[in-house]
Amino acid sequence: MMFEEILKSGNCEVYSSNVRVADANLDNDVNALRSTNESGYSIRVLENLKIGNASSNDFSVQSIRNTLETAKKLSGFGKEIPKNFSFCDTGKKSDAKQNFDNLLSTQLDECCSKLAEITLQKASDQNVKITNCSIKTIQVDFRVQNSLGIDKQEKGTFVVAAIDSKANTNKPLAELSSTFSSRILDEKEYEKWVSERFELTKLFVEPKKIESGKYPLLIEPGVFSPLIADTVGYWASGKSRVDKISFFEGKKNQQVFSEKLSITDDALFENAPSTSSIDMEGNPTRQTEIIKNGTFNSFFYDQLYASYFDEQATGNAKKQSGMGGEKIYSSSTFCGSNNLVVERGSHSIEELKQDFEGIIIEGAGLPMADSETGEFGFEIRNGLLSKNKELTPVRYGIFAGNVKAILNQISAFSKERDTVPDERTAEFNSSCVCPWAKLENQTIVGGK
Amino acid sequence: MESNTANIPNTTDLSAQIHDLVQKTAQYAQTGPQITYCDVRGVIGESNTLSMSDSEGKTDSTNGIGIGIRVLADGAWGYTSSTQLDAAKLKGKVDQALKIALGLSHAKKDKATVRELDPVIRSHKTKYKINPLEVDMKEKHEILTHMFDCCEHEEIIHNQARISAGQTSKWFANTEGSLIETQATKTIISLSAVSHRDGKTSMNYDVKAGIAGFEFIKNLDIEKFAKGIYTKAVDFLDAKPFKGGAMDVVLSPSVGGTLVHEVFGHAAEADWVTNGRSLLKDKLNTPIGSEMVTICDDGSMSNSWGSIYFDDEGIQNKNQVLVENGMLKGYMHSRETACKMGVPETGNGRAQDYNHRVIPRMTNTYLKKGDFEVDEMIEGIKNGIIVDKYTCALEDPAGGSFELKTLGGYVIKNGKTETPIARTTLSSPSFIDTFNNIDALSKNMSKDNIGMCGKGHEDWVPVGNPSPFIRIRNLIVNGGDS
Repeated sequence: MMFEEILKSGNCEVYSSNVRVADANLDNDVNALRSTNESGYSIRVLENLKIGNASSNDFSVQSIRNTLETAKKLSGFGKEIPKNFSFCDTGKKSDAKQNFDNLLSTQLDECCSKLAEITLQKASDQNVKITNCSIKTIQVDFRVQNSLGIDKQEKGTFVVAAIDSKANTNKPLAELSSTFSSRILDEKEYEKWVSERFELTKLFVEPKKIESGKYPLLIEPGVFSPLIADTVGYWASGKSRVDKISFFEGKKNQQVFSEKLSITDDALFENAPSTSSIDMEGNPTRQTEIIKNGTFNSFFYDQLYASYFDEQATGNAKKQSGMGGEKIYSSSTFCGSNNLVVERGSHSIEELKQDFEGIIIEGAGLPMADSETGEFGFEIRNGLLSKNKELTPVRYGIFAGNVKAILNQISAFSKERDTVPDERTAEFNSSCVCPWAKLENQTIVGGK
Repeated sequence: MESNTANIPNTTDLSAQIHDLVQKTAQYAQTGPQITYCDVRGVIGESNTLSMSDSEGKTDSTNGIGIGIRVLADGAWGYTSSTQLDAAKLKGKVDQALKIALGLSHAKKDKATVRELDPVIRSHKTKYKINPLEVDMKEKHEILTHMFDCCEHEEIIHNQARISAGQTSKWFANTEGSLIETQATKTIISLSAVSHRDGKTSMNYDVKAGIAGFEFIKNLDIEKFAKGIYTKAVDFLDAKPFKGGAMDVVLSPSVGGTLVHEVFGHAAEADWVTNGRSLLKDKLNTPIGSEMVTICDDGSMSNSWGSIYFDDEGIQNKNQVLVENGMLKGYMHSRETACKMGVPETGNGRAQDYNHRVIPRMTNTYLKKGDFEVDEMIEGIKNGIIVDKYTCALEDPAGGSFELKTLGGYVIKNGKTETPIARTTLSSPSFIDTFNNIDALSKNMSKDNIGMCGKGHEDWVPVGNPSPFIRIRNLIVNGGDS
């Protein structure tokens, strides 16, 4: 028990992780395969109501002691936090069964190679060119121990594929970006998905310039979900409350969006990136209803931000794998969303498309929103103008506005939903499970 | 360029150990008959961050070691890595990388190769006066507190600031006998301020970062830096959405540098040229912009955020002219793409970390300045905007478009700035048209525009985008007015 000594020595928490990644890089050819593995730990100490955090990937006894000392030293420069803060002390104290040595990297490599083969084969069969592609199979094992006796562990398998593809032609076209995310190594599921995406890719040849004007929009989940994650996922966090920048502050039980909108933060949702029995402080996770029929219900918290409001933590302590999941241990803990699950509508996407006249947005440049203000703007890269039952590929139009406004203007959601990982990383990271969204009468500034 | 070239000193036990392991692992790879080429990259990284908001003070420190191994065999690449400094295990990782490469090679249609080069034995450490990792946190805390004091204003509701310090030492060895040690010291300071008035919220931020010691922050006018940010955050509350369309735009160095990076730079990375993704394919020595357009990439700029000196394949990076007076002159290469296209290596093979792939990347990519005053550039616009700061951007090397999001600026009417604007999204159907529509560049340029650049879906590296003000005719602009 390598951390026993320091857990006894004071008020601290140790988060340790082991991440194995197999990553195949392709274009029209297979370029390289990476097989990597990194373990590391972070130590968070609480001294005089201040928190310090330090991390390392050196598990020697001396390094662990040094890391603890660094965290203690740094804690002196933190801000004082509420007196009622403590590390996690809830639920079953211990369920950690084993250390990080039971993962099969060869299986990850083999599965990754197989998915790469499927991708290349499908591209060839369907006459599509891959311009950039990364396929990752990942296994993450993390453990949380603290001085209050908590010792919990969680594991996860993740498959993430990010593909840019284009029709095999010299005509002007728009590439299509696609992201696949799953917790299951299921080749058939992947094959079906990649085949559908390649068929869609072929539609975006010789796109017409969008004319400026007002259009009904039908927006696919990969484009719509970042707008929700960047705003609702931010405003519902206990941190935004403390920072006094939450749009939801003072609006409990008030109608804030369209009645058609219900969003739950759900860490128990099946097969989603953030699904986990515990959060990264060891708290049991749960479902937190944020918006119900347009009415704001509740915030979510980690231990720190719950302590500001005498609330219970809701299992929302996160670490961001960010720029390379292998180093997830080095991220400091923050209060973030798990899987933001948007309630589905009553019509299938086929039904919504049937008599639709407007722009179907299948892909966009950077569909992101500014978290503080809700403002957004993005280029429609893969648009289909639906008119008189005919579809014409369109692009070069910018859709901009404010998320606060468009969430009040939703006219329909589809029955079908997609799981969209945040920033195309998956390892216990935030995600949004989102249906297609229909909006009426939106202004597009076009290239014509 | 600040350079210190000498025999590699073994300054610490850990450094000496990694130096030795990297060299011996590469020597072991030399004995593998199936290995065409192998390189071994060892890294020791250390960083610490003090971040503060009105509600929270956070301190973080991290250190790590790692060794990455890349093997080229039968025309395919295999990568493995380890964080264990164990010679036997690293030999096993070479064998594993070889196995991966051979396993891939049957599926590889276009075999990869590299040109054999003479071994290079070099050391380069960026110079600094004050090691930012050794500066007392108290001093950093005082600087952040002072910034917050400078931002006191009734309409500023939230501030967030941080100071980060880092040092990365790298050892590179390959089967050609090269052995290169580099060390880079980094210092970063940032501040964001959120403003609020009558139900309207706005924000502003800035980041200053350099390959430099703590003197980088000591030489900064902290008060000016902080006031510049919060004043604009308050000013943006007066900003109004404006009616978009095709219009003339003056881009600040922040936006202009990013435009060149996204619109041209990614398309000039040779892997996307060779795989047919880039519209710049087959355009060497043809015009791709107005005669004003001269673009260079230079990883040897002193103290600049994107400087690397040696790339992650052991090639020295030097200033390279990519576009001269509107004519495309070259691409940025890794060893593999340089060999494929039969041109000299350019030192642009970069990796995010020891365990990431090496591919062609930008360093400091810049458009050369012109001879206009900014006022003259504005005077030449009848109906348009001037934009202040980029927030994010996306390339489209295959489609020729781009997307740029900006914060702040003004509407221009009849040569004069009028209403302030907040968030704007810019695009254009064709980047070659965009470059042809550049008709004025300012006399002055700014080196301040820096960022972390991801390629495709990952592989983040620090880049610099120095730029003058740029005037472009006829961009698509959406100012959020519906």
